[in-house]
Amino acid sequence: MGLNMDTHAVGWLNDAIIAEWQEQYGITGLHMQAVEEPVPAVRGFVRSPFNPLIYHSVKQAAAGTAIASELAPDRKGILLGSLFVDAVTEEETWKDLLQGKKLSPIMFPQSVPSAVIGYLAKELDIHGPMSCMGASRDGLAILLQQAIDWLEDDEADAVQVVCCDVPSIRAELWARQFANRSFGGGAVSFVIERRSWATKQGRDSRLSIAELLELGRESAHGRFHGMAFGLEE
Amino acid sequence: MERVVVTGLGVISPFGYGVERCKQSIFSGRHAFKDITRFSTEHSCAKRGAEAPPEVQPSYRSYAEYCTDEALRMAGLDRNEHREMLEQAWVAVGNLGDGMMLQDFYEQYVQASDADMQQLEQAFPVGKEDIPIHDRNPFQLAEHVAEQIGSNAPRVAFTNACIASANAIAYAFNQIRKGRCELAVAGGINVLHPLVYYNFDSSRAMADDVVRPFSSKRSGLLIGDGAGMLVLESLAHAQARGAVPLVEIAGCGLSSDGYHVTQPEPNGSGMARAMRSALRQAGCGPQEIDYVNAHGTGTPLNDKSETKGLLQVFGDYAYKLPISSTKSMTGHMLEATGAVEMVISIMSMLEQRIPPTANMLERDEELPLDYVFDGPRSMPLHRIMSNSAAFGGNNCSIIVQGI
Repeated sequence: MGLNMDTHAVGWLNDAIIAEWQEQYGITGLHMQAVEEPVPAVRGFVRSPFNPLIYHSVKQAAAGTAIASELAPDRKGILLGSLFVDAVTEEETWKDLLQGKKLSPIMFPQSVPSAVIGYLAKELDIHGPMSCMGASRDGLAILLQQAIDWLEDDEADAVQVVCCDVPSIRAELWARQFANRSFGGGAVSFVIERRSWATKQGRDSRLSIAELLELGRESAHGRFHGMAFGLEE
Repeated sequence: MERVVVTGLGVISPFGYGVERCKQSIFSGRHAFKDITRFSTEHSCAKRGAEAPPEVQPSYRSYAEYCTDEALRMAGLDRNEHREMLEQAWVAVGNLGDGMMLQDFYEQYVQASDADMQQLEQAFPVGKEDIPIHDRNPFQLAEHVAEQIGSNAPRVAFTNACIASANAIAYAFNQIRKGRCELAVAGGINVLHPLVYYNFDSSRAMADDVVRPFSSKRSGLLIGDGAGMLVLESLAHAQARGAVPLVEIAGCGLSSDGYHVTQPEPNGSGMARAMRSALRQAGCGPQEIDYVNAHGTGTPLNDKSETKGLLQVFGDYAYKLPISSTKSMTGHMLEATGAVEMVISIMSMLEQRIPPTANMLERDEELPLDYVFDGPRSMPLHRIMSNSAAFGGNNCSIIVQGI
């Protein structure tokens, strides 16, 4: 099966939808980081950059937004987008296993994508909707749509989104075969809120939805970053 | 908002392939736990699990293909005859990728781990054909299902562990409800493989013999093979093509505990939020739920937390509400468990019968609800809630109702 990264799924995202998003919602926090840049260690997460990168990026993006505010915990949502999840922890675990070592119980939870999101949910007091998704086509738009659905359905007033993929054998081989380029990796985090509500709280949009989607298109150039779209090299 | 119905089911459970075999076993109260045969448990403390009979070579692809085919057949959808409909069908699959076939790869990888990319590419040549390592990527399975049904619509993988397939179904439900599509195929896959088994073993989470949810003697979970795929469509779409709806999905809810990396919030407040959110979306009150298919892993912490969550949501009615854990028979099917339990919940609705919680040894005085320990129970069922919970405190509840 061949998969062209530049193909899109049929008939759901159109200019009218983007215009409506653009009018109603704004990006109030944004952080982007390539995997090469160092991040502080996070207690309980070892031997892989995946979880520390997510943790650090979300903390940076959330600062000064509704996510880091006194907003009621059940009005905040959190969403992870990742294609390859923590393939590095998997590689390290296989190495231990095949070298006859006892598996460390710390490696198991960190290999599960919802674990670090749950850890962040604790630190940021997020009790609303939470999910972890991955889509190889229109991934950013699908994540945005999910976050906006939570806002539209009155399940949340602000949603923290984090997109992260890190270099691994799996990611590299897939990127070379299907994206026809080498793999980079990193994290992109943003906070989405209703524009009118954020303005009332004294927070301006740092980026419009259209600008965010434009950033997402930039993954077509240079290295492939998985769902951590638009990272500058 | 569109009304959303389920018109097709496909399932692989530790009892075997297909809806009928699952139904026969699940209402008999028999469990599927036995010693693991597919890989060595020589160095692990746990020895048992719930492997499906090896009717086909177990893999994520073969499980997904079987379940998708069965679900399409039940829904009366033919890949040729209904090509245009299926081309527009959204796909959502809960899974963390196929770990079953990767031991050889990693054996080579460990040898090559210090090699540069050029050497690695020689070991694993990248060409036009798929290489098995790609099947470890969760999104790849959603791609396979889309390809199998001829869909060109969005396809999404859910990776939030033990709620992944429940979340996939909830996602598909919401896409149809909001009118973005008329038809969707959603579910999840889990094939037991050594890495996840040894990982669970390292966390000392597994039972020695069988799973005993809500029992005072419960000592943990056991993992099982499982897969479930559902055909969801708008009621109008199903009626227009003369399909018979099995049940209606009335509402779904997601929540975060905001508590711990692995442990559930002890008071069950996170799960209670997911249940309340599902009730809100379904537009029904707690007393309109007739049965809860619990997450019920059989771990000391989960069963206590879930019971407290049920008491928060259902109040005094919780004491009258039948609650059972079918993991007592199937084991925990991880990313597939929500989908298989949704299939079981739909079977319950169609049969008007509640599957029991098997293997109870002694009641836990702290768990005072009706866990259906005494065998399958026939009673009128109008609405059923299915609960799922995952690492990181991610919760999902789905309500189905008769139609």
